[in-house]
Amino acid sequence: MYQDIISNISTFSIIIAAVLGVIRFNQIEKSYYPFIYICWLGVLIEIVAFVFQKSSGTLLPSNIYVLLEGLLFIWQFNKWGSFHRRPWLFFIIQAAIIILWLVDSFLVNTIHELSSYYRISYSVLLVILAIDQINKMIVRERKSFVTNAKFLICIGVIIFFSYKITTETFYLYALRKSSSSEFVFSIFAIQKYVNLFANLLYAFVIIWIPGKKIFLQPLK
Amino acid sequence: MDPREEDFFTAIEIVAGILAIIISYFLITIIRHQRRNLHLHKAKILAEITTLENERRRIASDLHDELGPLLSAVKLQITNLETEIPHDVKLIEKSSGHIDDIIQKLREISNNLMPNTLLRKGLKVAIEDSISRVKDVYPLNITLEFPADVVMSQDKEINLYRVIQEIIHNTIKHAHAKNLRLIFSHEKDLIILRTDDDGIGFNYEQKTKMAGGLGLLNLQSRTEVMGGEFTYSSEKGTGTRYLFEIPA
Repeated sequence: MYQDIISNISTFSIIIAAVLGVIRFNQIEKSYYPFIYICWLGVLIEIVAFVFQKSSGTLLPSNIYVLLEGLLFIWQFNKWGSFHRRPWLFFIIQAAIIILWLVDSFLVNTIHELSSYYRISYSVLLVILAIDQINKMIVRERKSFVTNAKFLICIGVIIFFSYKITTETFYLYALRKSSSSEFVFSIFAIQKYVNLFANLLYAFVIIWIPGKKIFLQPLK
Repeated sequence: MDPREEDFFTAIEIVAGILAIIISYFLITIIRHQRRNLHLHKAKILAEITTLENERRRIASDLHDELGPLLSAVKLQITNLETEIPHDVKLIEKSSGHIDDIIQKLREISNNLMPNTLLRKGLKVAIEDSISRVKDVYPLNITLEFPADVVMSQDKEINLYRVIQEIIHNTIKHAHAKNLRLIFSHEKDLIILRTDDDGIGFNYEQKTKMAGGLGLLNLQSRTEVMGGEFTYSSEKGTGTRYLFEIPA
């Protein structure tokens, strides 16, 4: 019962960030739009999964979500200049992500099962990109980190996806074959708390996303 | 769960907790070090710019107040020389002309180092003065909007004057623009400076690779010292737009 309440709160806590995203969408810098889309996508998929997954037991919505989430996060990092020196790398990574997802979802597993290889791979990639951004910010950023939207998003990414890597790896190599479903559920329950923390952090972040800069209308 | 799984789950919970503590510690130390680093960085830039401005003020004052009168006295003495030899008269006229040129040059150098107009009549008049001098030499049309409610301390006026100098210099040297707009405004608690030119624009990555981007760094440093924010928007062929938001 308690676990169910936590699970539901964790699942729908992304709504706060999504609503704040709707309110602030026209005021914020365009470079943060992919992050807002991620929050909206999160709400949409949680609702679909809540209805669809409980009745059929399929992980199809979740598998589609992780693909779109990965692509949107990489787009976000591209907007922040992660691939500034090598723009072609952005397209290669996007293509690699899609190919990996297709292989995991249709060749290794089925689209209705947990795509663990893909989930571990894109999580590792996002953690690396977030660490790279933080390293750049340590050298270049002149504003305080406490209210710095980019820094806080990167922290959210590192925390959430580090735990995701851990739980998915445990599931893939230790739990899937020989453990009881109750035990597996308990392991994934840890992820719920991390998810709740990350979603609340994202809601806080949206408040601090810098506003649009109003330049003069171009002379030519 | 069977007892072995329960033990295993407890171990996993402990590992997750330790991981959370390590990440929290990592974050707290990053934030603390960045804050300390930021403070030191600002103090260093402030010290550098204050030293630079004090030194410029001293040199400008020496040139204007000591060398200027001395040269005027020399000129007076030369013109007072009495001679009827045509060669000497020509030489005196030539020397007098040279001294006039030197006095004029000294005034220009002194004015560039620390404009008297800026200290005595404020930023608006100093910029107008600077614009009229630029217009005499370069084919650049500069428009200035400076409402009466834009008021700030003298330190900020000096920094913003340097910012304007840098922008005008960049526009002439790199942008090859025909028009430049400098628009000041007072919005909420901020003094806003927006600029825009119709030049060739630039690519930041290429610029920093080729010339080190010293001009942009200078703009950045001046803005940081004033506690403000500096943003720009430019691409090849689209002109350059700067935005400075300075606390009033």
